[in-house]
Amino acid sequence: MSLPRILVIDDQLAQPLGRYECCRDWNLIDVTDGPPRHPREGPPAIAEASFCSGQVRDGSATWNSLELIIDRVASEWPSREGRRWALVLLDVRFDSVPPREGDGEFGLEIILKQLIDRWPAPDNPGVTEVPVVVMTREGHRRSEANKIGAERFLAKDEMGAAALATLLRDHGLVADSDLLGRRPEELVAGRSLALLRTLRHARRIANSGSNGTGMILGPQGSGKTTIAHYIHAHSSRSGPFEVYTVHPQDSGFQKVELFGSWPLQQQMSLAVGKAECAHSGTLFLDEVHHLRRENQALLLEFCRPIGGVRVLDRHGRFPTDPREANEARRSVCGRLRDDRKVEVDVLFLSASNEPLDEVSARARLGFDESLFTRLAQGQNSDMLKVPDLRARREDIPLLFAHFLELATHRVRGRWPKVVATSTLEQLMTREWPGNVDELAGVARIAAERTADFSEVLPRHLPTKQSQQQSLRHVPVLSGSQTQIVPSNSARQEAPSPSSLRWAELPRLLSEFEVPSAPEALHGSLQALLEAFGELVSRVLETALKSASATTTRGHVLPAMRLLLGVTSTSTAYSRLLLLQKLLFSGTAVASESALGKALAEAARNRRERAGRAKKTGIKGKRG
Amino acid sequence: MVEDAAMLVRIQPVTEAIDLRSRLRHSWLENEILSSRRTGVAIAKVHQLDMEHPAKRQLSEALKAGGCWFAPIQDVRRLAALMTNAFSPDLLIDSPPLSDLPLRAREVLRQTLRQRYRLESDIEALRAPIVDMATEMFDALHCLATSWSAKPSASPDEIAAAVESVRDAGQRLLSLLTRVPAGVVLP
Repeated sequence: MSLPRILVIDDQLAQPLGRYECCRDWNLIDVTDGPPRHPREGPPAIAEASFCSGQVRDGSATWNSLELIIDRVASEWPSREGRRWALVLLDVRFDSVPPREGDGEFGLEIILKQLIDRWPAPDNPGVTEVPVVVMTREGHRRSEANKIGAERFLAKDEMGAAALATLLRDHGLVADSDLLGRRPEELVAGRSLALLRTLRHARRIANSGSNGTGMILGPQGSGKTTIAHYIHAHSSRSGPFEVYTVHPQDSGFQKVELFGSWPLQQQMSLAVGKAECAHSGTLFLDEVHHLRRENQALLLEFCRPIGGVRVLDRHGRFPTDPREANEARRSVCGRLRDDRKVEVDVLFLSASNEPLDEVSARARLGFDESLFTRLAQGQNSDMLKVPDLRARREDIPLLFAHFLELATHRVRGRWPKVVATSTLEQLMTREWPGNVDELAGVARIAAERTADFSEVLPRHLPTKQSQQQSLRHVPVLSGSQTQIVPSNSARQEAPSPSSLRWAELPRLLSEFEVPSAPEALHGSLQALLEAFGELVSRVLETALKSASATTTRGHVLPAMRLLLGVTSTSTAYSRLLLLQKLLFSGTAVASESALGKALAEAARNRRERAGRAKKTGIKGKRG
Repeated sequence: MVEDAAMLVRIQPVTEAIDLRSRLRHSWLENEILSSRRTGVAIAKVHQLDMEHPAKRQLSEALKAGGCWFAPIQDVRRLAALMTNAFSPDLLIDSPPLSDLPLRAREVLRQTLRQRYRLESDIEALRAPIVDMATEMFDALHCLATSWSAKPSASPDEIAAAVESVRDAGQRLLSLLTRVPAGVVLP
């Protein structure tokens, strides 16, 4: 963890006494002359501060220096370590000795002419991207500060530790690693301007008050879920972070899953929806564009607080039986408004990798206009765009190191590691269509390949082609979880067999996190068995072909002995039959394939043996 | 040319008085003496710092005779001496368009404006309290400076009390300076 760094440009506060008082009262560490020489007393510091008087002394004369100030701003915008000023506090009035005309305008002149010219905001060249907070005693400067694009105006007397902490939260460009109490696996790594602006926006949404609403848009793999986690963590909400991923095929479940249901029949129990489970916390609706039209209408109602509270209308009827009614009331997470409706306090976040901010995309996806307005542009709602990795290329080394460390610890590899310059160069020049998730996948592969080494060389990185293929099935970091996230293209086309590395497969399967949402579990066992059967078939087929190449007849058992790593023919035979029972009873195996022929042969042999045993009265050996 | 030079001579006290008033209020009293971070307790903490600490060194310098806490007291007295004439509206008579009037008319007007200015503004009445307050401020600062460098060292409570006396005097002086006009008083 490191502290955010602020620049204080003030002729008074930059004096030794002013610096001392500032640091003492605002909980800062003075790093103007390098690391502090005197130990800090009192509460933990919230930032490091560098002070600049903005003036040059020549004997008894002191005059204002624009060059000095601009050089000081430029010294850490960004610094050699990629750090940026989290905030620049600027007192607009500087007094020269002897007095000079225009002293009172000096600070504003800096902002107007220099900061805007040199560092215009990417989305608005009329203001500066440097987060400037104007502070002065002169209240009439407020409107001027507003016009020139200052983040905020603050009366000098209002400034203190609490005010500074609020300023840093709402206006500061603060990296996630600059904050206390963040676990490494939760960290949103990076210090690029694009990311810092996104995090600042996220903190503003987090503090938008009770029942706030936010929409997160961004390309696949850019880290929308991680940003949603970040918002929840900064919202200081005591409740849980509930995620609901909308699947287009789950139409029947969406309503109940989201909003819950009173018992539909006598025997059924109350179903509490995600919206209610998230009471006092955050509800994150991922892939919101998949929401069915009728459920969009329900969501619109939910996102329209009545009397400042969200009200959800459960499906079904409130139980009439007094005992069941009491039971239902006890099960309510929120407050029961009446027999059907429940009041909840939820920070509602939604996300999509579709450009829902474009009318054409909304029309194409059938996304309700009113709902979009409510989620992204309405009162107490906001829209946040997560940049793709190309827009924050300078973060790649930091991100790679971050993911590499996490993956290395996971595979119990050697740490620390050095990433060779040539490796970083290669990473910086790649296109990263899969964004941060893709980079995480590459770091994971590099961690596995360098488990015993302390240096990551270019040869440890997957090739660009295999990197794209492996993206479809490698586990990627998403917030604090590791999960297999298929890319868009993976949904449309079957994965290539070569996309998986054989040696990694057992570990990948063991690490796969089983989803807990009922809609995700629905029918999943059969699909899983079929997929697993398909995989085992392919392995067997390959082994049979391999055995047939070396033996002229009877290659089934050699193949099984090979795969199972056993020498006993009987053990191999019995396991083959077990596999057939377990896996292939519902899976069609092509009769002309090597496996089909082998299974037919095994069944035939078994029947013959059973027939012989029946004739001779000897019980056949059972697999 | 001669008229221009005479004009400059007449304007100079005005700009000097305006500047003095601004500096005394903003730079000296508000930023130095009455800053919310410089309470008695806070300054007493600075006093307890090591002699080599930059903050303590700066404050020790400020509390020396001629230091930046003491020096402005001379400016207070200077402002008190200047202000009555400096902010008088009769200066306007020497500026266009009134300067185009005949000399006789201008003199009559000058006397009238000056008389009315003195009657209507309390600037004359402010002069003595400001001078007295400057003396009181000096005494309070002197008391603080004595405690600051006392051997054996003064207790934190003594320092804090001396600082509060300075701040109290500074607050009253600020109230008086706030009543001083910010420029020429228009009729």
